[in-house]
Amino acid sequence: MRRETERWRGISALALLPFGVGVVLREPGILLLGIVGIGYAAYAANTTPPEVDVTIERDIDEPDPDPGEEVAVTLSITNDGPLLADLRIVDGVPPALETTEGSPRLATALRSGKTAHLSYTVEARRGRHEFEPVFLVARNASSSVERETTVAVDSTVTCVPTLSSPAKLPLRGKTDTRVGRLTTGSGGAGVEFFAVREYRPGDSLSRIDWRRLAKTGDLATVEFHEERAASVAMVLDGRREAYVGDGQDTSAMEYQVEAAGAVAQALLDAGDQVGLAGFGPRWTWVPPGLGRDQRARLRNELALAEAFSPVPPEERFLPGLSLRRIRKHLPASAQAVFLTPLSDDAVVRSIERTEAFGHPVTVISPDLTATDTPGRRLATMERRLRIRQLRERGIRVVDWDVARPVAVAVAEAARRWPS
Amino acid sequence: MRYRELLAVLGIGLGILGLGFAVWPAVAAGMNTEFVPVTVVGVIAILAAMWGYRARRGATFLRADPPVVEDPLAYGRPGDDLDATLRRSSGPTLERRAERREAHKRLRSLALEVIQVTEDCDRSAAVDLLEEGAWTDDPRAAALFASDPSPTPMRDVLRGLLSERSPFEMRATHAIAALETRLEGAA
Repeated sequence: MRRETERWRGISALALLPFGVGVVLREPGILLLGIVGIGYAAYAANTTPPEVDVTIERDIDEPDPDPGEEVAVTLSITNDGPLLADLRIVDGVPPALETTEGSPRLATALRSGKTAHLSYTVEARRGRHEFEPVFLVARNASSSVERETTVAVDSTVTCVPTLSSPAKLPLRGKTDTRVGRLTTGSGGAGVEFFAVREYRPGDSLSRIDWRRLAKTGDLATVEFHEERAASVAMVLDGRREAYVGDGQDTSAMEYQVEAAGAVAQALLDAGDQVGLAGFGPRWTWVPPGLGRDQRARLRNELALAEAFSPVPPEERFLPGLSLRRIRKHLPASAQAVFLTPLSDDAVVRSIERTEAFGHPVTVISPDLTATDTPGRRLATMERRLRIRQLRERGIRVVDWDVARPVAVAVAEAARRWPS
Repeated sequence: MRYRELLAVLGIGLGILGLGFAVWPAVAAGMNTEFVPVTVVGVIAILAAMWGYRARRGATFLRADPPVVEDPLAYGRPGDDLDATLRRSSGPTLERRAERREAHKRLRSLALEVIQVTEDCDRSAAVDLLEEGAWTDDPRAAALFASDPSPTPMRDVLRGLLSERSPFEMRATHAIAALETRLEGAA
């Protein structure tokens, strides 16, 4: 885009004033002063806008860093056109990456065929971060005209953290038919004693109550609490309202991802099926599954899915639609672990509706509230009342103080829950 | 050649000519500037210079607006939106009034819930307490929701006038503190 900067507007006054005064007063000396102004006016008017013809390359020293790792970025700009007297360059640093050293900006003059470099360092964060186009402004020598353009240079930094240490979350009593760790109210195979019943032909010898046989001569069979596996969907709150921060540039989404990873690890270790869903305008669904492949898939999705991006969504969101989608995909026997900072009432209604649809819900809520301003104190009270409301409906809530590990918060909350 | 360039070339040419006359005055010896048309040209030049100066004063300088790429994403803490509303709540504009109404609605909803929890009463009883101002001992907190607020003491009126905070901000701050005390007491 070409733009007249208006920087030299009115420069003709500098030439005309001494000229006019010199003529009227018949003073050749003053008249001659006008030449200076004429020179400037001519300079401003006759310089042509620069043509920007550049080749840009971006070099990233570590495109797949670990979280917190410093990533060095070098941008090389080669001028394939005529001299650029004044060139300003701003690299398109992805919005979620923070520049920690150097600057992604450069102001330089660049002769034809020459190359300029700019280097800076960013700190890696979870997610796939695509660089935005490089922004360029070239001005002529007098800066009366400038040309603005962008040049796309495709580069990506991909940061996939490992899943957090397992956090054992006691599940609620809904199971599927597979054997697992969730103790049910019916007798069968397991480890926890349930009852002794009369022996039936076909009962395993290992389950016969030999003591009773020795004492009374009656054959009886020991039954244990049947243990079955559960199917669980981790639902992360990806609405704009959920992108609240902890005051140190970390959003609730990061804490949700951490907690989801920790709980998923423990559930998978215990033989439960674990899936993943996004509750927000950007849809993501991973069906519940087992095993190493599922663990890798969950890790990948938690790190890279658009629904869990560190950048808040701009899209419009309809909670009813998102909830219907989750319901449609959730297996009938599945339960949900909802991860949300509980920053508004809408999410509470959605959790209650999920529970009402027959999917037992457990909520893990990172607490990012503070009490140093009136508004923050109000938000703290609102959140407390939301937790209270959910608990009154029989929904389990882990109120997670993010200064402590999620596993500790889950274990403490679980102590208060009925086994 | 464009019009502007033509003018510039003409200007430079005349400038060089003038410079030549200054360096070699003998060349211009035959020229006579003692006549009215030359003076008229001078006056026109002064007027044009004034017009140019006016144009300069009124000019808006344009330049590219490069993106800000260094700052990390900022996430507000829960409640920051209400703090922002309270800070700018003194304005008389329609937008400010609408914001105040929204903030008042949010505060009222929380107050009703807190009263219901702490008094173990239903919603209509909580509404009565709120509108009568009987839910707190703090008159400024009570005045935020009271249907017939008692007149503000002169001392508070004066304090309000001297304060940078708007009456709404002050009442809201007091109401939040009163609700907090109530909720803490019930925990």
